[in-house]
Amino acid sequence: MPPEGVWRPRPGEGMERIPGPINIKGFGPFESFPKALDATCSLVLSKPNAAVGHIKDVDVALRRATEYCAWLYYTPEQRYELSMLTDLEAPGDQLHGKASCLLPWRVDDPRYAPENIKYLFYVHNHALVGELSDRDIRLAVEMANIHGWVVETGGGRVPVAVIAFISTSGEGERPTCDGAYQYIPATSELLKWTKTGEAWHREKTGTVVWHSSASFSIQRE
Amino acid sequence: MLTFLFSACLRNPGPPPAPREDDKSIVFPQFSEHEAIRVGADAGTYELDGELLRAMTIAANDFRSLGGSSQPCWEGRGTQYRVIRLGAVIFVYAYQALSSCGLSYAVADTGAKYAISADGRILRRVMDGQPLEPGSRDLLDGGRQGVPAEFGTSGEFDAGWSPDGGLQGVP
Repeated sequence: MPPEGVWRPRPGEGMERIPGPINIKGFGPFESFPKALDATCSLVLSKPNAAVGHIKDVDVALRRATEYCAWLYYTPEQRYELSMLTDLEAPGDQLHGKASCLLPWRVDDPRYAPENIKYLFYVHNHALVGELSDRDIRLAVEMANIHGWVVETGGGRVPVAVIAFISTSGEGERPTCDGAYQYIPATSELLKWTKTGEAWHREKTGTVVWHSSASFSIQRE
Repeated sequence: MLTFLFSACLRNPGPPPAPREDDKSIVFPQFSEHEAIRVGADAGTYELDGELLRAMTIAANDFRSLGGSSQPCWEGRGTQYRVIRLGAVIFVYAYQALSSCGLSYAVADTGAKYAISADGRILRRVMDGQPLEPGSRDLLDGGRQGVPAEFGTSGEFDAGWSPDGGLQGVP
């Protein structure tokens, strides 16, 4: 059985769309995306092996690390919802090793027509607390090309982004949401987020400079 | 369990992974800075020496040993390798490219960077999502360098961003 809130398609079930909203009672909908992201960070990092940075042996940590991913989306009711999480690494394949996950590009929320769902954030965790990878940056641009660079919401315009949650608490049993990395393709910003108490701090760590649609370099701040 | 072992054996018929060092003084180049020349994309003739070929083979064997899918396409054209040689060190970035297998998913963190010596030793390996620097507790520095902000918001966008920069501005 997958952990609560984690979707793994049954044999024969399609993987074209991921169900939403997440089936955890009391989780969402949210009135703002910062609140939704904050709750999602804690939820994702509470899943098994979502944070293994406390394990000293890197090879052991790599073997255990599990990556979960999901969509944070905006509904016609002007609310922010989280899709189910998934930890699938390959269709029909339960082997584990590279700590990546496959997320269908679209959410199946039976309450709404597919075209009325707006995709804001691709959220996942970096179990080993690393920064965003080249693949994360390319994924963010792919996301923007498919779902749009900026989303109109009742609270204003929001640039879409990829976010990786991390826990540096060192408490393996109960990892806390301590921070995140974010790439916003519309502005090319690379951001590092830190949570102290209930407060979030934002630091710009770099800019992605695109030389062509296939090549880029990162200018550090 | 039996299925797992059987599958694992099928997937890894090659030699065991090469011994791996962890030289943290090695700095990886930016693998995405230049467009790669795709070997085999045309009928051109390419030549590479044994050191380069050995380094790529070592990286490929290690990457496969990490697990993942047993599907033939993923182990074939679904895995891509970028290589940059800087003096005595050969840098390889191995990653999975699902679109090459006709699969369309939003997927991140599928790669690993390798630094391999000319004599065939893995000097350093860093997986996607793994920190380049040790000391994860210090990564966030308690937010001392940051400014208070609502989680997920963009400073530049909220300051009046216009679509001149970013990839949207790339021809």
